Amino acid sequence: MIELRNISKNYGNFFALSGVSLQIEDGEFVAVVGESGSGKSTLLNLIGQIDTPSDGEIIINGKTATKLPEKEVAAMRNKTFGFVFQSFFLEPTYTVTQNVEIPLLLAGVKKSARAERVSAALQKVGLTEKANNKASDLSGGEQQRVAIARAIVNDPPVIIADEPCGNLDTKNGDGVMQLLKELNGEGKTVLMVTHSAEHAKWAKRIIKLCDGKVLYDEGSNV
Amino acid sequence: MKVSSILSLSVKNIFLKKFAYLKVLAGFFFAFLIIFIVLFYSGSLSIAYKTYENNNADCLHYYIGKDVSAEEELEIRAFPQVKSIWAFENVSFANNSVINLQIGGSAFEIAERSFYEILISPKSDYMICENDEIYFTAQTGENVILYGTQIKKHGDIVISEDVLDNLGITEREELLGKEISFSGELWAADGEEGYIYNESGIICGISNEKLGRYSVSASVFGFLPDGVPAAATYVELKSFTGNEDFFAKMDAMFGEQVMHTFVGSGILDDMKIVEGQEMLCNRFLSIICTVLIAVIAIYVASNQYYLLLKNSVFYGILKANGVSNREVFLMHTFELAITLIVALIIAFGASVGLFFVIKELFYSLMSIDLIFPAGAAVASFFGFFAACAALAVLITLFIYVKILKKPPVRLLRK
Ligand SMILES: Nc1ncnc2c1ncn2[C@@H]1O[C@H](COP(=O)(O)OP(=O)(O)OP(=O)(O)O)[C@@H](O)[C@H]1O
Ligand SMILES: [Mg+2]
Repeated sequence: MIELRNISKNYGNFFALSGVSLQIEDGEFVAVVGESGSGKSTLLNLIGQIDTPSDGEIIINGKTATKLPEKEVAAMRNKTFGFVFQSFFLEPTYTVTQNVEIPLLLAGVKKSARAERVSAALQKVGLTEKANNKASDLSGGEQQRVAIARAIVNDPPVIIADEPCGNLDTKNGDGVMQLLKELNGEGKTVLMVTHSAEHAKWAKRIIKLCDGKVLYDEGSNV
Repeated sequence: MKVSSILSLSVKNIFLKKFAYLKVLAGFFFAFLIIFIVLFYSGSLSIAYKTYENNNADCLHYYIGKDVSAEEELEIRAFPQVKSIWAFENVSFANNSVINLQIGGSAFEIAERSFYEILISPKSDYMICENDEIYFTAQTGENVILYGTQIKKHGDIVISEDVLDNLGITEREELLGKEISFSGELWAADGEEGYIYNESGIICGISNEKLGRYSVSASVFGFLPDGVPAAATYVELKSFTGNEDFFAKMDAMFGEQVMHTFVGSGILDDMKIVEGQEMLCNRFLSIICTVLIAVIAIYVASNQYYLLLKNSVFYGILKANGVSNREVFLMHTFELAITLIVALIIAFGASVGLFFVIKELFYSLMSIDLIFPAGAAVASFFGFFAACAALAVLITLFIYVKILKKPPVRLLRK
């Protein structure tokens, strides 16, 4: 379970988020929507512990992440979260496999187990054939699927996806949504930012942000 | 993460981004190459210089700053290496580097503190040294006085033509009878401040250039001013080597009053060539090198920056996937250190190769045989090795504070 207590993030006088409090239960599928600049990415980055709040507390599975030492926060990122970004952030000179196995390398997984888990992840995203291609040689849709494979390979309970379909056409975008839905079906918590009303409908809960505040929160099962 | 897995991740990252790393490596390589070539070249010159000095010196003198007793003399003569002994009594010497000089009331500019061995001012007799070897007394009968007379009384001074030429003084006979005063510095044996002394007298004679010309680098003993033991004994040895027992004995007998010196006739001119080369190497090359290294530093810095930009997303992803700050720091340090050290090793090999090419060229074109300064080379290699490691840590520290330490999302910007 993820709990935000009165979270704020400011840059000087400007508040990207102000006083946001939320609870997200395990297994939820949440879409975060709102205008550009409303604080969606900021919210997800803070939840995923890849950014630090200016104020407030974030409690993840009973641990107050905002008070943990950096090393433990890093470990939490590895164990708890898988990230999918709008611009994929793959290493272009690495092969698909090499990109996907990064979280496993960091977790110290043995070589044989790594190969197994990478191929399972690639199978899930339908890229088994491209395993040895350079990431830069793939299409946008394929690259995003590689990024998803990387996000799930370590089997984290929470997937954080910031506009995962932002750079994709409708067909590829729907494919990614399908994948996220499947992951949610397997019990993973999925937090997703989207600009598409269509895609937001795939989620069970929609949080709308406006000027750094929660405008509405629909379908919350809290 | 274990340090070994961070290291292997660094190595892997270098291999998978080899083109980016090669650019940085090339910069490091050229910088190291230039440094090594200059080091080897100047190192070999200084070896050449010393070897030359020793090979061309044709006598070895042992100087004892006192009069030796009859018994002591017997002991010295007992050594088979000893060729001859001669002694001077009651001498007062002029000497070594002259700081200023006045003749007949007008001052002469001494441009550099040079080694004009000007004059001779003994109390009852005089001596002059050239190349530390030629000595001159009234008894030799050799006519080295071109104008005027030899020294007859205290206060008489003979000046050498060589010195006059060096000072640009064209008069000769007109100088006779004029008052001369000067101050000079006696070189301290251990490289400390020299002893400054003042002398004055009347020019009684002008000697030919053979007298009073010698190089400090070729000499240790010179003339002693007042206040320094006014007696000296010189022991000439037969050979340069195999004198250890003799040296030990001398040290035991006379302690600080002895010193030995290798000297060769005609060595001065040759040494000037070597000195000139060394100067060329030191001044000219050092300017070029500074410029080149500055250019390379800019190149490396810009490439390093470019590499970091390229890599910052990667470090961001690593951090987002659970790499801690400490681990990112280590990883960057490893990557930089590996690049530096690989460049160092290749540059070392290449510069050794290049040195031997230069050596061949020197030999075939100028018959100068450069000797590879192996000791200095090995020492500099390990020195640079350590410096690379330190540099990698320092640069990373800077980058860490500026960039790597930030939360992952700050690195994930394209
Ligand atoms: N490092 C920063 N410095 C200053 N302002 C920032 C910084 N990062 C984000 N902001 C500001 O915070 C606000 C929220 O940013 P955020 O990226 O969360 O918006 P968003 O809702 O994700 O927008 P978009 O839909 O365009 O991605 C924006 O106005 C943005 O300009
Ligand atoms: Mg955003």
